[in-house]
Amino acid sequence: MQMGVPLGIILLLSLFATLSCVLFFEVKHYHYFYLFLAINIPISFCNPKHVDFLKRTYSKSDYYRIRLTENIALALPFGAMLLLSGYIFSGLSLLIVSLITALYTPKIISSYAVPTPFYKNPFEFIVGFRLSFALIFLGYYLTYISFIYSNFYLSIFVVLAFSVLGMMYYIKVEETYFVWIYQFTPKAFLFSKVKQAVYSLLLLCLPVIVVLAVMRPTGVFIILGFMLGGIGMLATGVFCKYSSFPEELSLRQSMLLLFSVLFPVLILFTLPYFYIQARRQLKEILL
Amino acid sequence: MIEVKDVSKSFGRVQALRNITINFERGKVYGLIGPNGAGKTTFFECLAGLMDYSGSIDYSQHDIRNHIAYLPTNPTFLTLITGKEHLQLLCNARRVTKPNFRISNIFNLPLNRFVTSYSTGMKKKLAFTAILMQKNELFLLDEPFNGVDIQSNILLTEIIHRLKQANKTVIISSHILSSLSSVCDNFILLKEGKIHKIVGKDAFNELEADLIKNEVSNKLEHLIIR
Repeated sequence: MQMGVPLGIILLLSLFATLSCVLFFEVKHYHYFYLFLAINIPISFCNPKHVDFLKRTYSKSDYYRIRLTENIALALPFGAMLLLSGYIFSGLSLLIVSLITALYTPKIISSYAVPTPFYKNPFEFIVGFRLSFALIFLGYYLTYISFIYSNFYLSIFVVLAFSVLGMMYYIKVEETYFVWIYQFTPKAFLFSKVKQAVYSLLLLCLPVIVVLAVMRPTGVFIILGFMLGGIGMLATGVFCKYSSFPEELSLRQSMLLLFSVLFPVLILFTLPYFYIQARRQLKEILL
Repeated sequence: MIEVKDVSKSFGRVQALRNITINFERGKVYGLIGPNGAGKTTFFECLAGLMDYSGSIDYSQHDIRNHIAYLPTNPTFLTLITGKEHLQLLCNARRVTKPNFRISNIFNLPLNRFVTSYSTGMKKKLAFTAILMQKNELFLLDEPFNGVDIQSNILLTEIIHRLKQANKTVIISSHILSSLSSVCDNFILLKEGKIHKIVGKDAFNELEADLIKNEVSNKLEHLIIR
């Protein structure tokens, strides 16, 4: 604290840098997944509620200053790691997207109701799809590239990236009213949420899975294994969201979730932990 | 029947509800009247189970707790959700299968547009449509007539009559006494978190005169507009 930077932040950044380096060097094509994850951050900050609030509250110059600070502060660690690891194009792309989305919110995000295949199961995947449809198409484009160059693991990364994206749709806590309306017990509510989430994720991943199966019919167990991992991550995200309900996620919970994404084996512990917490929190609202 | 016994609620030092005791009968419409800050919304949230409280609320009709409709004064909506998706969400939550949006859209709302682009009145109508599509038994309507155009107000009044005919229990809070007088069987006057008076339909004129005298005439006695 004496140097003006809390020790926790220094530790966190060091851990982040170390983990990123290890994953870049140990896992093939990890930077695609990393870029995909990072690029979603500035895009998610384009949501109309957030942008409208800032526009109404602050002057034009302050608005741009806040938006630039938000996007750059969040994208910079990822961008810096990509650049330092030699992925110049990915790093620069991330920083440019952060700048553009800070200065300009695409009209399509704020006014047009993009049709989604999740209509029957509101609302997380519908809202998430509308906020990140550009990323989803980028995922499908990567699948196409992987098919052209017969790169099986690139498509596997797309499956994992979609799982993390789906998980991020569940980070924002809704108003109590939207939980209270359910005629379910906490257990039934959580399972119905997970069921909906898994169904939506499978729908999103279906084209990628088909491509994977065509590319390597013998790799069905690998595909299943990664898909199950993705579903595990998604379920952890759903339970995590309600583990502090009606409050937003605490720093501790956010960190646990982040480490579960970076080290998926942790899901074996975090998933039941978040489930128990979520059931306890929901008892106050549901029957 | 719903038995409310000694329900109290405080926010820090502010006592919002003080020992509320009242029974609500099935198939009746109740009007909840009171000045701003009297505790009407808090009472609704306690009845709905959205807020904890001391005392007890007994829903003797077993499954009524699962069939409560609550229309808040300012209904909240999710961003990037269309009217149709909002209705679908509320129907899913109450296990309503195969909802018919075309027939249910009695207010002719543009259901394919984002709810955030709706006016205040349209939002209220959408929230009302949603609770009508669910199979509810108890309707808690907080200021349903506010911000809604005159045709829709007439429609709302007629719907409340039909809810009563269908043996549903309705509790409405409103500052528009003329709207309340045409639909309510009983009127509850709430003041500073306490039930001040409960009167039937026949004594409504007396209650209205009393309100005008106490809340309006006395306060304006010394007001001189220059």
